[in-house]
Amino acid sequence: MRRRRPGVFAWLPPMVPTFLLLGLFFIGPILWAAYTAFTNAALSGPAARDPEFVGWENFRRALHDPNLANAVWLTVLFTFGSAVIGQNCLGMLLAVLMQRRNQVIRAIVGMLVVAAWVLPEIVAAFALYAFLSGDGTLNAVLTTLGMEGQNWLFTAPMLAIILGNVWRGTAFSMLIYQAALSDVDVELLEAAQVDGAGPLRRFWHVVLPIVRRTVMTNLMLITLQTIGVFTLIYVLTSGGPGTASQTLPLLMYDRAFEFGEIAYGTAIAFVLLGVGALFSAIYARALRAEV
Amino acid sequence: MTTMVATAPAERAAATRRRGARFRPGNIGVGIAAWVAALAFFFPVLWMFLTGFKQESQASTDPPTIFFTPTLDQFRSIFARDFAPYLINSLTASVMSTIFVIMLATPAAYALSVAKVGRWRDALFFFLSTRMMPAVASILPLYILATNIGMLDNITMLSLVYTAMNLPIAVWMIRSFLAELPREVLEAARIDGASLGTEMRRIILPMIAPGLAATALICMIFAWNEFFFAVSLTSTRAATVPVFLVGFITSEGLFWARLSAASTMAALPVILAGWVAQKWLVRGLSLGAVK
Repeated sequence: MRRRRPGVFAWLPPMVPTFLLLGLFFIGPILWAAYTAFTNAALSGPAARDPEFVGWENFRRALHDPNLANAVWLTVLFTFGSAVIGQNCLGMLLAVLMQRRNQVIRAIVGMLVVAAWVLPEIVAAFALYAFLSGDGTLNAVLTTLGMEGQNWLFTAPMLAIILGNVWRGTAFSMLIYQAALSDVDVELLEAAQVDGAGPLRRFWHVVLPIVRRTVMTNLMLITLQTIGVFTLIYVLTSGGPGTASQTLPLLMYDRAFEFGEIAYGTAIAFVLLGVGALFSAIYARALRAEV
Repeated sequence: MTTMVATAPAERAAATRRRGARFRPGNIGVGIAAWVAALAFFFPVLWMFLTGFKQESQASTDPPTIFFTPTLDQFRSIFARDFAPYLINSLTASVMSTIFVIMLATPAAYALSVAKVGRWRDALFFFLSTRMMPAVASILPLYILATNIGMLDNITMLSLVYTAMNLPIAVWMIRSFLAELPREVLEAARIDGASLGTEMRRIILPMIAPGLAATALICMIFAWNEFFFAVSLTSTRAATVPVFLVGFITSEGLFWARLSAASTMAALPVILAGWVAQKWLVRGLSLGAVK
């Protein structure tokens, strides 16, 4: 085969349009953003017409901005609570529960869980809003049961958006873990059972070590998805009350579009990228340490 | 369906392997837990669906209305409010971008897997990296770009953005399908003197057709669901269904029944597509890493 293998240049033409599109719509904007973060670009006023280079000013300001510190903390809390703990553990639990059930049950349960996940984000957000808001379904049910309802989006905004994201995203982890669990050798589990290992010990000592690479890959993917969540939070709480659920994407949107401070908003976007990179580095290290 | 069978352990183990399920009383509890979880996940979707068939006065009562005479009034009133153009825009953007994606991603994926271009790993990670950018970070430059080339509120522009958005997933996904092709078949074709074009048309494409269909379905789901780019880059002429949903709220307060009916129409196509493509969803979303 080697003699017929074309060189790099023969394969370049079919890839040109792909690179062009990605360059135009993703790489270009990133480079533009990287420059803008060092200017004082704005939506209106004198800086809008003629932005000036201001060096590290935006990042210096970010360092002392209590709103940013708050947003970083909430983003980490949101990501850890809804992705690392919620989606990941619940997804694994569901996958284990459905393991080796009969085909029909697996298919139906899978369909029900997938429905929540495949919904347009905006529809999912509305459905959750209708469920959690002051006169929402949850409160109506609670009242019927004789308990006192409350406006969950106002009294517990972080809990509401974390639960919302768990509801929406768990199917993804479940599907991934189902695929991984089907690779685990049944003989191995039976051997462990014969040796007297209970379900928990079998899971911890037999299953988990086998699927740990998948766990890390999944964690990385759901973390990166969760860090950028905007629409869900925007519809549910708009980052409020006050700044009580204002994660980084919300803060960035607020500064760039509501206040018109494009440059500062862009600088915040890079902080967001930094948080993502930090999480990725942790997972990558965890993977490498094990190999 | 679960029965306790008092047989010798060896026989029981054999039965377990045969039927692929463990017959233990604890299993009933596990089964119920899986069902409860699945129904809890589906409940908000079901509730939204039901609300769409209610009268507005039944939509937010306390206690919630469970029994009602279904009506199509809400669906009628949505179409009376010019829902059709949004639907057509959504269809155009999803279908057009998906066709572009498949046309561009297939040769790129081929170059990266079958032909193994030098430094293909770098190229793959380049695709991946563009996927990791939060949309919020690239929206500003995209907005400015669209304004400058006069393509704001233009469905072609939106389709191109969606093409770029879905390209990385498609390349990774198609690559994973190509990687599974038996090498012997391709080699036999070449020995028989098939040109690259023939090889592609007659052998590779038919073999990965199901994979391409799955990829297309997943790209279509993403394009259909996309909200953030749509709401930022379009206003009246090119607005899609998710944008229609938002307009609904801001213009006249919350009409839950009507909003639910509109949401149902926005969600139905992707829920159906999601169920069809469920088997491949995992592969698409883990960028081909998990099968």
